[in-house]
Amino acid sequence: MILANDRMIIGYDLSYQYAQISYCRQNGDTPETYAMVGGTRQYNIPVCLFKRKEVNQWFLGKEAVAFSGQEEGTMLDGLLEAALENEETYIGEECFESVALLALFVKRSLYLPGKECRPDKVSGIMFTVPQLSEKMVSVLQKLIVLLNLPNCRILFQSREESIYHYMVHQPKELWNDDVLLYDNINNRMKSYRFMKNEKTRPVVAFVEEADHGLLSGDAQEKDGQFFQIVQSTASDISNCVFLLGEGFNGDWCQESLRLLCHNRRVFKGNDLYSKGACFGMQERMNDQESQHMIFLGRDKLKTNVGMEVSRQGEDSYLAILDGGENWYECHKKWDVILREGNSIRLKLTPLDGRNVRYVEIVLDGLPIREPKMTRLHLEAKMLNTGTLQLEISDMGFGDFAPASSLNFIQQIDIMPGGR
Amino acid sequence: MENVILCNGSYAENPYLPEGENIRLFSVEELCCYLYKNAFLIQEDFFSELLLRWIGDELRLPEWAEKLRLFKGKDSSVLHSIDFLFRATGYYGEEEISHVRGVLKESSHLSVMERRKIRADMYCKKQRYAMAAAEYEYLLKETEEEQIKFRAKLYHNLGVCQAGLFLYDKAAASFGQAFQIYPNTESYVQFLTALKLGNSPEEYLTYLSAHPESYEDSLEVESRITRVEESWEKMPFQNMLQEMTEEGNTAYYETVKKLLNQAKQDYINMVDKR
Repeated sequence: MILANDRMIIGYDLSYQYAQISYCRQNGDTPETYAMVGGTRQYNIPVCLFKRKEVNQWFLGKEAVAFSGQEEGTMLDGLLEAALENEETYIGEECFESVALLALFVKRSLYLPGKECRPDKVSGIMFTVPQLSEKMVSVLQKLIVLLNLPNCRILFQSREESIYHYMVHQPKELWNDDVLLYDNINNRMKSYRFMKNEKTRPVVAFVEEADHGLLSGDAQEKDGQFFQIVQSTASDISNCVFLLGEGFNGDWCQESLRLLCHNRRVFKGNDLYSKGACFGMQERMNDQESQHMIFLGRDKLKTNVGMEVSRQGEDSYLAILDGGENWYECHKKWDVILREGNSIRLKLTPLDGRNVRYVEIVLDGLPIREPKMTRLHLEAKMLNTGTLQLEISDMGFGDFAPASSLNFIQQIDIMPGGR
Repeated sequence: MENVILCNGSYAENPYLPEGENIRLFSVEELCCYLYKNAFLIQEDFFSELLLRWIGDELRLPEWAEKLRLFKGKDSSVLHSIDFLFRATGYYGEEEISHVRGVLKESSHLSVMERRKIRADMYCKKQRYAMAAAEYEYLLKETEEEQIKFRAKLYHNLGVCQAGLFLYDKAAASFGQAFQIYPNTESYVQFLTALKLGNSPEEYLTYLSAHPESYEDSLEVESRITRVEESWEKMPFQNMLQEMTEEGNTAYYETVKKLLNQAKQDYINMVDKR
């Protein structure tokens, strides 16, 4: 039972066709997932809106689908795709920004699980999405602003990271060895392999995705195609397998299942991503990130970025961006003073510690001043997993040496082996 | 030692203005720079509660403000405070701390006015004439009439600054004041020089005719001006420019441009009041 006076955390799986919402107490245990019909496992909320004609009345999800067949109005689906393409939608003469429509859907959907999960009672929301491209990150960042929940911490992570968080919250015997997950949505088959490298400290976990394309034909043909996928992917999996998505409903894959279940445990699930998002948010809210294991997904920085500085009179290393952090969450601002000259130097250290390199940035045109009279303001952020953008502003030295209006922007490839 | 110094605390939205100064401080590093350049002026009341609150609130260094409060009222509190700030920021090292220690020791017996005159004289020597003139004017306003010799020096040095800024009329007035309150040859010679440079030859001669007692000193003025003109003609760049024009060398114009630019910068420094 969820206590009404506890702050809640939400894991929100947002994809192109459906959304799922899992929730738990911030300091609580296993998340629950909202089901459209109580007592069932119908977790999928169709990502669509319906606006009644000439009335400012909106419906979402299952209700929207129901109303669209009965009432006059406008059905809007493909909300996430439209937001990614930055489209505008016209209903009559009224124009709506696509990300605003998506925000409307998300905000209204937060009321579905009940009053305990009302936005004002939620302390954190973790969105999990199919892929975190630069466009997706931009949409999610705009979405967070439009949701306008000032007392709620909102983050996002990839599906792979949600798989990681879900797995490490299961009994350890299930993930001692590699785990395979198959995801079947509308016959599009993907697999995810959860693996660990136990030779490092901390242990590093990975999730590798493979896209096996569309299954086609009748049930028997699709079973045959899936059977081949299982043969090629699961031969070295000895422990357990997860089957995700409504695509595994029904009896179409009997032969494949027989193969999978041979000496393995097979679990069928539907809400793994949203629960994984919930677990991920719990860890972040409670500062419980593991010291023994870390997840190294494709959205994580593979390089430590720093600078050698003089700090309180001693030579020191200033960490600017840390490897292992999500690229879209990396942002740092700091000020330095140049003793002399017009350049600064960054130190790039790959996570394996090898092939450390330095990048020098020359600030052409910087006014020549007395030593230690040039203060620079620096701001670092990542444009994607491999590209760092560094913005440097000349601040002069107060009334001793006025600032110029010079501003330098440099993009640097920080991938291991980059130039 | 690394070439890049990591800054401490925040950059102030509301700068701190030391009392009697026209320089604003925005960071703890600028505060250190001010302390180093003006060490002989600093007394215990510099580290006021106002300054410490600014360090704590604007610069967001509350622990540093607390540390400085502990030094207050104790022996050598100024040196301890400056030592702490220099080391904590890393902006200055042992050499500078040692220098400040020496300056504080030397200036410990001086009055505030004497300390400010030292600073003004320093500006004047560095040809920061506008800043120096502002200091001398402030000191003339604040010192008492009875301090005759001190005020004569102030007027004389003010005259030097004004002449450096080509304000010959004002310079003549200042040198005249210096001579009036404490008669001395140097102030009178400078007075005549300023009079000559600031007026037409006829006007200058008219003055000399009306003041025959100036004859000897006017000869000294002519002698000094002749010496300056001769040394100007002998400056190295004069020969260089002459050669360039004779050879038809286009580098002449580039060199002249460089010299002009330098002269411009020197003038800017002279009139800058910061």
